Amino acid sequence: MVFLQAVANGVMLGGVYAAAGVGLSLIFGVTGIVNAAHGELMMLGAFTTYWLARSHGVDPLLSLPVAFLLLATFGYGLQRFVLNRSVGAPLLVSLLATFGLSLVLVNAALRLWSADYRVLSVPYLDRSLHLGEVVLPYTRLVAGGLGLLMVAGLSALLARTPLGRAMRATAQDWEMAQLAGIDTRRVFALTVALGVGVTGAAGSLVAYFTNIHPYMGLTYTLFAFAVVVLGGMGYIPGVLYGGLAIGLAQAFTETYLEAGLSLMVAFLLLYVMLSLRPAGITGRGRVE
Amino acid sequence: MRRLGLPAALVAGLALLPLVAGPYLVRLLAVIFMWGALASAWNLLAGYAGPVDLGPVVHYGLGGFTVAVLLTRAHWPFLPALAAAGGLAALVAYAVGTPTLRLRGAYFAVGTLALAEALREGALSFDRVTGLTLTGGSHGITFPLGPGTTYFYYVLLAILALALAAALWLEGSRFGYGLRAIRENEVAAAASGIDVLALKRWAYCLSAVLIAWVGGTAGYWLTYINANEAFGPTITFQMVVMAILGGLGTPFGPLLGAAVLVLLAEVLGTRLLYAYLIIIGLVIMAVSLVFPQGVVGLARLRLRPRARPAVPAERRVAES
Repeated sequence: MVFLQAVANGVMLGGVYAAAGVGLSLIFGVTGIVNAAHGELMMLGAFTTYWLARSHGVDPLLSLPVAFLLLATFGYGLQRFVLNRSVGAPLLVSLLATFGLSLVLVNAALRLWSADYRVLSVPYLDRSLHLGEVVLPYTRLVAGGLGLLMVAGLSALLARTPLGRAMRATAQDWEMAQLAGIDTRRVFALTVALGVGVTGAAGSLVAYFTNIHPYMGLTYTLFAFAVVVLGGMGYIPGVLYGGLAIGLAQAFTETYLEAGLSLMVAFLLLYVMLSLRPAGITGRGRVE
Repeated sequence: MRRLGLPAALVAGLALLPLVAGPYLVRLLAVIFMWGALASAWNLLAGYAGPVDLGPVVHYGLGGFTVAVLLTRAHWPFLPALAAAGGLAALVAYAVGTPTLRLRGAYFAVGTLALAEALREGALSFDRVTGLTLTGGSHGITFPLGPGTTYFYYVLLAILALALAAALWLEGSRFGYGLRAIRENEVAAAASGIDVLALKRWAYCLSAVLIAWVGGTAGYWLTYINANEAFGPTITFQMVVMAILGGLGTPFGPLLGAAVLVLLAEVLGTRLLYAYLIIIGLVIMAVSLVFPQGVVGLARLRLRPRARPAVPAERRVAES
């Protein structure tokens, strides 16, 4: 029973982690930027949901699109006015620039909101679904499900819309895309907007069931990176495998080992993967 | 010898300074030496060989905890404990570097960042999981009361001098040329017969030993160490920004960057800690985006070009 419960926890977490990783993968795949401020953007999404619920009584499920739009706007501006300089430059430039951004965001958040831990409560999601002896808390179930929906939505957008096609073309070869009449600058900005928006929404999901505080970002940056590497860098559907792997790893560590060691286990998985199979579980990721 | 004349005179002058200077200046200079040594040690790998280590606190924390345990448990004297911490750091760096230094660019950076965070978590829960008392969990370890600031001034000055000497040695030695060849183009370096992994690993070990020494010294000086801070990202942020601000791949740049930021922190004071860190973040962003070409030598650090055709940096700058 404990085993089944751990599997269920892992799968629910996996949906959230897939959503947490998909923005990182999209932005890397199209623009080549490795976003070290990824977790901090999730932190902003979590705080958006928290404050909307706290001071305006907005339902946390309804604040998901708000977090998406706010963060997407932020992402658009970020790419257009700041990160655009790093396109085509060595990886290190964007890595360091976003590393600096994460520092700015964390400390601005600390100044504005203090280091206090905050908890969002969603009364109607407080109960749990009982399947035999396996307990599925609605908060985690809803968060995991919505996470999967977000990943599916993004994949559909990439596969079926003109914007998605422009993004895929830009990802493959942005100079050729430019020659074919695609405004790559706009595509880059829209990609980052979309990626950051989804990341903010993933932050909202996380807020349903964990503590919200300014320092929460770094852990998610590392988890998201592990998810993306496990699934294959730049290969969007790969985040489903990566998310599931990391979610299960964390759930099993918490159940059988010690909650504080989940990052260590994720890290070990990451290393084994990078050493043995750098293109990810499916082998379809890009090897840098 | 002429190149070494000025630094040697400077070191000699600084060695005599505590005889005449007041306690405030001695403390301030010791802090600058500490950060200067950290940034210079970090620069040995990132500046000369290329890999960006975002987990230097792995060595810092390891050094700190080794010295703490040897001092409080085994009652060793400080300097042998420090030597042991350096040895351990070298061994760990060798073991960790073997798989991680194969990773390229961002993978190495995020991989080392993840290692640091994993160690922080591990050290925090070590006592609870194993039932031993080694890291002190979130309480940390209190050191026995140490000698005064002047003692640490000399220890840190010595480590800084070693770090600078190592950088100067890299400037002119065969080993240093090998590292820079790797930095410019890893594939070409390997093709011309350089053992890429071995060279990078030696640079990583060298940097790790120096950082571990500073970690051990800083813990004893501050009389206290805990896993959250010693393995925490704040120390990494500062080392990285000091090295970048002062000039990656230059022997004295990191020390300069350290001096500037320590003085800035001194002016802003502890009440403005967040403001200080926000400024550091903005400096990292500005330096890496606006001056990728030169001022601070960031352009000297080239990663392997990406698989897709990239616009040369010169053209990009001309366009914008």
